[in-house]
Amino acid sequence: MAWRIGIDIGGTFTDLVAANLETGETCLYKSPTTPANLAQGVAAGLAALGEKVPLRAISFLAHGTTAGTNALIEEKGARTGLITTDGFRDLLEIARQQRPSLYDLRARKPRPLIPRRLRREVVERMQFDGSILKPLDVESVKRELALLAEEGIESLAICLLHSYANSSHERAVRDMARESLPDVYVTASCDLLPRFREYERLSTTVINTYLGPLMNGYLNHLSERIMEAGISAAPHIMQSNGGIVPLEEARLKPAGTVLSGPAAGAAAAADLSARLDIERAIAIDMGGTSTDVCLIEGGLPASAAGRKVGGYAVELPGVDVRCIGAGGGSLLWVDAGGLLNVGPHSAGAHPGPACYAQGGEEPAITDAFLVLGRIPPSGLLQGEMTLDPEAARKAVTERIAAPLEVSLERAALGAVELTVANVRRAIETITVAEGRDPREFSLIAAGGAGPLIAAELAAEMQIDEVIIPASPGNFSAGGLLVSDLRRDWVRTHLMAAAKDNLPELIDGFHSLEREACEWLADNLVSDGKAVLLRRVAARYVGQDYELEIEVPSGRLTERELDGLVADFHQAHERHYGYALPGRPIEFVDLMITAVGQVPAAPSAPSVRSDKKGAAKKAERSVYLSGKEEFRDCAVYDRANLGVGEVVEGPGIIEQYDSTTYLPAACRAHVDEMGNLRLTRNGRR
Amino acid sequence: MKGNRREKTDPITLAVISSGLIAIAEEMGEALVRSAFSPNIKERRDCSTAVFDSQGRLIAQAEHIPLHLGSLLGVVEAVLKHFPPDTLRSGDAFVANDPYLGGGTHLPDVTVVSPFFCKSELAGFTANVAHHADIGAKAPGGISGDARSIDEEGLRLPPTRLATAKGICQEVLDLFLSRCRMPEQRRLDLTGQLAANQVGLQRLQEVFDKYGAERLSEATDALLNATEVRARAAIKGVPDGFYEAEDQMEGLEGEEMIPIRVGLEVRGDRLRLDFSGSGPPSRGAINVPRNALLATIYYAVKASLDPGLPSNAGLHRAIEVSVPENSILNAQPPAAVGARTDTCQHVAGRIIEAFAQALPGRLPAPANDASTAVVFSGVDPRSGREYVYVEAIAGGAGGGPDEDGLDGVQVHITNTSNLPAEALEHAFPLLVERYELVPDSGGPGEFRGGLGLRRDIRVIDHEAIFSAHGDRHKKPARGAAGGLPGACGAYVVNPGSSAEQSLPPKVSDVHLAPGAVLRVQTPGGGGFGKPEKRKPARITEDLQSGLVSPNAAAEIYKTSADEEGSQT
Repeated sequence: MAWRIGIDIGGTFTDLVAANLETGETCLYKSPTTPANLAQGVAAGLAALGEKVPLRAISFLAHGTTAGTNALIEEKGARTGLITTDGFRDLLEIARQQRPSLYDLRARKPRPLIPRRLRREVVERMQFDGSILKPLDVESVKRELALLAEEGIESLAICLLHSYANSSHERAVRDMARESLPDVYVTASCDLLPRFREYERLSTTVINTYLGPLMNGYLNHLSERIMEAGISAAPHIMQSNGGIVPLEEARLKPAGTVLSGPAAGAAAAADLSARLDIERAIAIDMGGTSTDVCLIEGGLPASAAGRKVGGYAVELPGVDVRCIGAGGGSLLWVDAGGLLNVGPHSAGAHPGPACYAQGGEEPAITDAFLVLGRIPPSGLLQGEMTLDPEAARKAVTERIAAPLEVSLERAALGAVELTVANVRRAIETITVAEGRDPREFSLIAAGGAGPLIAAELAAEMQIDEVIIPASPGNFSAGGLLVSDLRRDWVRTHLMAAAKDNLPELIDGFHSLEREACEWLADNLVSDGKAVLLRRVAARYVGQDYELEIEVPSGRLTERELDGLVADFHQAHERHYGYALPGRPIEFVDLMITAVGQVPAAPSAPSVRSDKKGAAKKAERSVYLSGKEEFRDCAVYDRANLGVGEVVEGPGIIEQYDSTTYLPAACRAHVDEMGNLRLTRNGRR
Repeated sequence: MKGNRREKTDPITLAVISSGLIAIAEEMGEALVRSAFSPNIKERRDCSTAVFDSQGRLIAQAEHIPLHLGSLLGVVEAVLKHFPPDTLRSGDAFVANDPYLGGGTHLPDVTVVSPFFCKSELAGFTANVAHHADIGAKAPGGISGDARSIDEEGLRLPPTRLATAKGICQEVLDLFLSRCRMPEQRRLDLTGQLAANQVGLQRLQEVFDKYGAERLSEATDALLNATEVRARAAIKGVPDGFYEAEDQMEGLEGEEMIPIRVGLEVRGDRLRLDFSGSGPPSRGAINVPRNALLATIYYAVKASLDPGLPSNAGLHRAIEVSVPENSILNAQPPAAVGARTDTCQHVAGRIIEAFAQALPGRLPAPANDASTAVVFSGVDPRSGREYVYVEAIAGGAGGGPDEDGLDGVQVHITNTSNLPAEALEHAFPLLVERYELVPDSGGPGEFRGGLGLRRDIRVIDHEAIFSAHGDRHKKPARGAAGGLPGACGAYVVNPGSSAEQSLPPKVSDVHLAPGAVLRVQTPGGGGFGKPEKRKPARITEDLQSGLVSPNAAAEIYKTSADEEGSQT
């Protein structure tokens, strides 16, 4: 029997998830994360997992790591050098010349990842159309490379102006660097991201080189540990685009992993919505310090190019996951004007919310949940983590209720309402502001805290249905069990959307397709399992902001071109509320995504209940939203809720890794796959 | 105290409503940036959005540029003055830009206002302001520092009905476009502005449906009160007293240096700003209309006392302002105002400097306090079409009480992004040859001032016309607490060649020959604390990075030769 496993390294725990590819049986093991040598925690976890799963039977392994993200935020990457065009070495620091905060005079910018003395300029200049204004001065390259060698750099970024239009200078520098500095990790921007707008391309290239040596070392350790454990399957690594690539490829593109954590959650949500045949979903994942929000349409997560990690721009194509500072640990505070605020500061794991009784005196959202009776006073993780309800009440009373002159419960409920409003705001920026109506979406709520606010968030946004996955706290790790091979190619190719340019358009796609097909073949993806998606980023002439349009597969003729133009007008209308028919359009970036479907487990079999009502395990007093009073509510054990069972609110559904709050006039039923489906009475 | 009236709305609901209203302004901002056409609005985000109540009080703002608050502050009031509430109809949209008649702060900042109706009652407004790259001034771009009267600065629009429920008023649009260079781009930006307000109206409708007009009006009062209370609490944290700061800015060529002076009077929770002693009106375009002054004050007070203060009318009530009649800070028609940001930067700098006396060790030394804005225009030889390229170039921030000042960032009342060289060269017949930090331009100190920038732009295959405004070409930003001044800025044509020519800070209509290079160099920020207290490690780092030259280090920080890093 073949198994697929996923290994997800988080801040506290390394999660190992395994799924039987024939039966869908899954199991989970948590091992403490070992920050000094992450591969060690993985080895320990594999050893333990080996007691439940025959490690030799593992046929597919996917790994999600925050090693790169952490190194970036903690500035622990390699000693890196930069070669750039004469006159532009400070661009890395200047960035877009904006200050980080409009009003906070003490706000700092992140330190440049490469100090100025290691940012070197060479004499050369390309023009916007790819023509050479100043040929590459090879002597200047030699000189600067020699200097960087003397400085002992471990990695080198190369980014020259307009290299997306003509990469010959960049490639020449790259080849010289590889020859004269054979032990140095080198990335040229044209190989990583041949896209215009120099700061974002530069920043992404620098991040890649900054992380390269460290990620290589880490991946070496990891593959050794995996082999030692007796696993013969080649490891795959999760990327920010929600797909996985072979480990060897991740060595070349570590910048592609820095947002892979949230992307795994988005991949899981996309898979769930596809299995449930849900066309449009909003996925939220609310953890301890933040909430990730992502849109899923047609079974695919929304994509975005521009993201920031720790203040550094990463422009690789990725899943569009928005992160807001609202999680269980987000602190509640009253400002000098007497208004309640939630976050963005977090109590973190230490000292944590007041109810953790680890010395935290400031109330957090988790304290509010506890005051309201939503989470079990006996503790989280089935009592593994005890809570102090008295400390929570004291903190909320003293810091919130007393200064606002409202009751303790009103203060706690208010904090939840404000959190819901903040999450709603984040959702609206990716729906309403872009012409989508959130009422047409379902809500997938994951994370330890997501199911605690999901029903209220849905009611607030007039979303009819909420889906709480089987294991909300481990949902994101589950993404490693379902994600496919995926790689994106993007190339700036500015041209008018006119029939004269059809040959250029066809050629442009053709060369990208050739690379994509080679990649699929290299990865042994058979034809039936391969998908190529083509898109073009387009704009009206004179605009500087592009919209992505899907390009049909097959031959491109005038008819398809007309179709693209019509689609662009339509997309513009949808996004911005108007179109400008007749105005010329230009294509900016050609994009290809190759997907290689890899084995994923069938949906897990769910508990069949023969004794209805067996899941009810207790009653406790819960302060109900809407009613504004405490009422004794049934508490259910989710593990004993069988397929097809229905629970009427108000109530609480507890499970190991999460708790679901079911308000009055809301019902939950367990679907065939074991998900909880929440609906409001009178709907559906 | 007026702000302490008993309020009925529960403070928690209030916070939720407030979050919802700010969300509306933010969504409008996103919609505007994304749908506008000119690089100035799209890439550089030179625009802001806001929501007002039916009385024209600002209740939520999404500002990218603090100064924009000025245009937004005045415009609803101006619309209501020209069009009494009973003449407003659902579907109306108004356009305005005139500082004297339309509540604006200079002509390129074009405001669009849309009244919001709830059950056929006027219930509020959505509004946005966007900086148009041209508005038909004598000098392309309309921000040249040496315009002599507002009549040289382009099309003046008092509040004018641009659209009704039936659609856009074609004759108004035609009039607008007929006066601007690149009318097509203007039309598209304006369309984007209308669309952004529309997004806001829809979302306001949802909020009104949810809470009801009465409850919202009550909530608005309470929200503004909460902000006023918070602002007064911050003022109370400042020791009672009178604090003042004065510096000089550069006028037109031949004009004397112009003093900018502010006196702060703090008594309990009351704050009064007095600008007497500032210079008389300028003959150039650096006069400041009332609303631009107010926006600058609100920025500086927030930044000095409580950066988290909500941007709404509650803050405005906590501040009293006194400006003499005959003042550069009290522009009257027909004074030119296109380059008022130069002056506003000084005003912001002086207010923060005065607060720094009251709150020693909490606020940074003066930033470069200039607004370096350049305009290139001409006919693009590649397309035969006219172009106008506008850009504001950042400078150094002031050294802080415990950290060096930021290098090459926008300060105070602006925060526009740069235009990437690769985007610029696609769009305009220009070439960016250098874009870098200027060594030794940060004021020395225990904590060094931020460095200024250098941007060299070459004119390709055509003759370009250059206009600009800027300041601190002669008088640098001073240091604080013993810190030294930053370097000055400059505009230089063909630097390093025999034809090198320096241009004054306020200039227009300079013809640049094909192949000419225009160097923009921006001033640095002042240093904080005595240079001799600077930690050797910081000096070494500056030397190694080349941000400070060995000569300067030896002279100022008394480094000996063996301490010097390899200069790069």
